[in-house]
Amino acid sequence: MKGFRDVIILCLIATVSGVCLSVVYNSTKDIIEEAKARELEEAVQNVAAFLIGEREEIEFEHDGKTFDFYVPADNPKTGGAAVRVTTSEGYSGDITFLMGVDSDGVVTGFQILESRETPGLGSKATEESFWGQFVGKSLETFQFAVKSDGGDVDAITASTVTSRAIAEALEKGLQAYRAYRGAL
Amino acid sequence: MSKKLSTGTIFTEGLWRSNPVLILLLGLCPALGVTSSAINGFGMGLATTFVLVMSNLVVSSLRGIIPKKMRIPCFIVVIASFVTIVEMLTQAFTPALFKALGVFIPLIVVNCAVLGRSEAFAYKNTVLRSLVDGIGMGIGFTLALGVMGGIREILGNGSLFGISLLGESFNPVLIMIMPPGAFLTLGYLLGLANHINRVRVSKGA
Repeated sequence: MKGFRDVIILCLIATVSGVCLSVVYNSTKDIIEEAKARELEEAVQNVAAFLIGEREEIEFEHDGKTFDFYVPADNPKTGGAAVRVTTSEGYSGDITFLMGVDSDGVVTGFQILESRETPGLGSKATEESFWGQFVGKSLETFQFAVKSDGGDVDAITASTVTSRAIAEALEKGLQAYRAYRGAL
Repeated sequence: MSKKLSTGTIFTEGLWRSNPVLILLLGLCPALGVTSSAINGFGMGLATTFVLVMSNLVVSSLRGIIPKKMRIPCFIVVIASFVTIVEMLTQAFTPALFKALGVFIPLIVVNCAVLGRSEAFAYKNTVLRSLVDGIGMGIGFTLALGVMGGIREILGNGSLFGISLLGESFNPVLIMIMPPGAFLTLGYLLGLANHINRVRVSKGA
């Protein structure tokens, strides 16, 4: 019966571990969610400072992709938006970013939320020296493609893939917002 | 490692003479994977140290209960639990570090440095000695990863801990922060560690 005793001991250890885990999970769950919400709130304020007051979150599908719009609750259609875009065209894994768009479809800000681009290369996309070139631009005034593809975007040195992914995703985001606003 | 080692020696063993990365060659996966910057290296080292110390403590205090035949599954349950705890804690209190380390935190489970210490040390030693061993090994691991991260960050990005050191005129050696740079750095560090040890031995002889 020695084998039986061994099983009981392993079960006991697993049970105690499970209890410990659930305690830690329950005590950190709210903090993690708060931190995430705070991060999103800060990002929205950074990219679209005009979004003050109550906000609504809208899922919008365009061209086979889903976008999250954060729009003012009192003027959801034409009050501009913060658009959350995810692209899988980056160099390593998904890039998720938030862009601000005003009611005329002009970019007001940009912030990377999640990316695993190469540190020191593609990760430079988080710096204003890169994304600053998009602010104040719209589909009419700017070709959202890197210069080597015939567009207006100054790519990050040695990170054309990242730059191209972000430029394309920005363009799609702007088109999606336009479709949303136009579908009045 | 004989039982006669004094507690102080156990501590310094982990720091240098049995340094998990540089001498025992354990835990090389995170050493290669996360050391693209000094802060990532230190963060990963500290997270691993926490798991190492806690699992050493639990394994050594349960060593009379854990059956010999079932010890590996028992160790893994203990280690996996602490890793999950670290994951939740870093996500809650240091979200920036959690983002940087990402997938490597769950992978502490399969870091052979941690399981190796449970098997080779904590299962055969008292709680106090295992605690000291965990701290020593953890600090040794952290230092090795921090140094690797530091070297790669200085050469590959011209900065240390995110602070620019070498200025604009410095042309960074990009390969150092890419995966091949990890192998180059580790190779040179291992060579250096071996050289120092050889010199020491020949002097002692």
